[in-house]
Amino acid sequence: MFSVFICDDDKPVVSQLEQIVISYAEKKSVKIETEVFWSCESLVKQLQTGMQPDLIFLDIEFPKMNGVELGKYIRETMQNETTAIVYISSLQAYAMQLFQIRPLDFLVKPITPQRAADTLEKAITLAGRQSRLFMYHKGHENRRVRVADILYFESRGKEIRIVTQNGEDMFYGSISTVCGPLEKSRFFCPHKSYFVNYYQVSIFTYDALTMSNGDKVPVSQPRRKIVRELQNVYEAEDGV
Amino acid sequence: MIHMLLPLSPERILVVSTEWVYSYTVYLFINSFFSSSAEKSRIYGTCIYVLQLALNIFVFLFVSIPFVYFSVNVGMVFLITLNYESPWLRRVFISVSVYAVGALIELLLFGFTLKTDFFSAVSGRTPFTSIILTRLIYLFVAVIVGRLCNLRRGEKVPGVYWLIISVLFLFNLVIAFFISNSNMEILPFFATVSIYFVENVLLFFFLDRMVSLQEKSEQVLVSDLQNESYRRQLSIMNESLETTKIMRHDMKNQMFMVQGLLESGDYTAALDHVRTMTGTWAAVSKSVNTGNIEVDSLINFKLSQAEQERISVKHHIRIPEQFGLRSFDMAAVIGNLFDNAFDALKKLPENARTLAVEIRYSKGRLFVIFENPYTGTVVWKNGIPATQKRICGIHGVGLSDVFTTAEKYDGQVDISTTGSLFKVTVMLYVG
Repeated sequence: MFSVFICDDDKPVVSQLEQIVISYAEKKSVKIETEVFWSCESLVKQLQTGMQPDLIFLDIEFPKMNGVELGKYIRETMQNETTAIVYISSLQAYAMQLFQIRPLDFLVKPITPQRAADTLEKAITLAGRQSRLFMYHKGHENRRVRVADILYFESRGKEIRIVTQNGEDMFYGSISTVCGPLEKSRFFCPHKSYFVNYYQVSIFTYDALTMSNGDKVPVSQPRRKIVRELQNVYEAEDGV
Repeated sequence: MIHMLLPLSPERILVVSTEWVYSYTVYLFINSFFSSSAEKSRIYGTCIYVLQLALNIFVFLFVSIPFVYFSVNVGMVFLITLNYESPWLRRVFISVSVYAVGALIELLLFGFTLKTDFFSAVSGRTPFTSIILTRLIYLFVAVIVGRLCNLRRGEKVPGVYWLIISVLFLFNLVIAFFISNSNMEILPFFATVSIYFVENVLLFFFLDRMVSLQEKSEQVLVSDLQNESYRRQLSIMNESLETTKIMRHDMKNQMFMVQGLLESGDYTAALDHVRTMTGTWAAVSKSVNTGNIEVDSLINFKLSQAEQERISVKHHIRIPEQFGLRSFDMAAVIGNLFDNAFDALKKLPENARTLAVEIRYSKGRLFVIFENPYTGTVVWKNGIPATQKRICGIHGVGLSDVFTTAEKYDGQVDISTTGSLFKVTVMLYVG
């Protein structure tokens, strides 16, 4: 089940978005659950209960807490990088602050149904890529982590350090053993000792990647070209 | 007196009198590896070059121990490199390489002289020939290395330059044989050799200057075109802003008019009036307004051009108001991609002229994606589609500029054709 939150105080926009989501779900026969919030505060309350939607259509302008603050709360305070945020605005001009929240897209009012449906489809595709579970052995125990929550793996001798949104762990293995099952989920090797989740990178530069938790992962000289090419391929495929 | 101890043979005098050519060659090498603007102190640099010349002559005349000669040479070049910001390892590498190239040329020539009778067959003064040739080839190599380094920095060197320099080199090679083989008295001989080298240095210097000047004039031309384009873009931007202002100001009056028409029962006229109003609004809202004035004006300018060419543009632009891409580079990428697409689309019938443009900032990167149908075949040259177009004599304006800019931002350009669609994806790291 794919869950969508719509947060806007503009009634016509909310009902239009709901309609777009419902007709998309019917057309593609996918189960989508929608929930509407008229203010950022009510959405925060819901998030605090542990509920984590797959996608939020979020208006920027609100009388009290605004869309940017809510975005910051999700990304920084909750350390949640997996929920896709799509900003809705009547403007086309956006400050850098908004981009720092790493939104999936921006929808401009009046909303074009096709554009909104395309964005929804993109969010569903991206979530689908990382919806699986990753399993590893720690001692005699089998541990499971949601692929979407993994930031990166780091090889440390005979052990692997796995860093997730919720912390980190160590287990025996090598990068090559984790490569196979995760390559299709948009994981890549920027360095021979690292295996990184593409969607958990918050800033790309040619020689380093800043992860969503602030960690820096180096991009080794021989892999820079591959990393650049890979970004073009991924972005061209994922682009709306 | 120390110099009394060593004989001053004509060969030794020739070496000493042309030692300055060696110093000048080192200077050319250093200029190739370091940018002259990064020089810390001009006085220090000049002093070291003079000291190097003096020390080299002194060691050659009075010490004559190969290891000392080597140490002095490498050491002095190293002292010169201290005048520039650079990692230590690079300094050492450059110092040794500059000396090694010279030594290698000398060795090869020496080997050539030993193994063959070529020099003695064509020249009566074999040692003179090899001394002059060593200097000439070393100088020539430095000039070539300098150009190659500039080429890597993005300078465009015309093909004719290489032709001129090759002809010059061969010509000077022949002259060198003539001079060293002539039966001139010793004094006129040294004078001729000196003039010969001065002439050589000046020739290379002016040839270099010529290429730089041409490069500069092309840059000026490009920036003139750029400025002209900006001016036009700004005026279009202002025009659209004015229209919006007038529309807002006029809205109340327009509404009264519609109200009047409706009240009088003239529904057709009212509807017509509303249609005119929405038409104007649609035209205004079609324009791009990201808040990034430079991008907006450039794209709106290109959109109006597209309209004139009856090209329908579907654009999706999501960028911050400000980010780390220089406006010149932005114009180089976006402007050239538009021009490139327009060129291809103009060859198509009007109903097929569609262009999809996506410009998106995401996580420190800028993605620029252009997709358009094309007709005919694409001729590829070095991985770039070759363009037959030349603007005002500027070569390579077009996709190659996109590649140069992408390289500047450590980015990537991908060009692909699927069926009848031509797609360019550019990624730049913009922070």
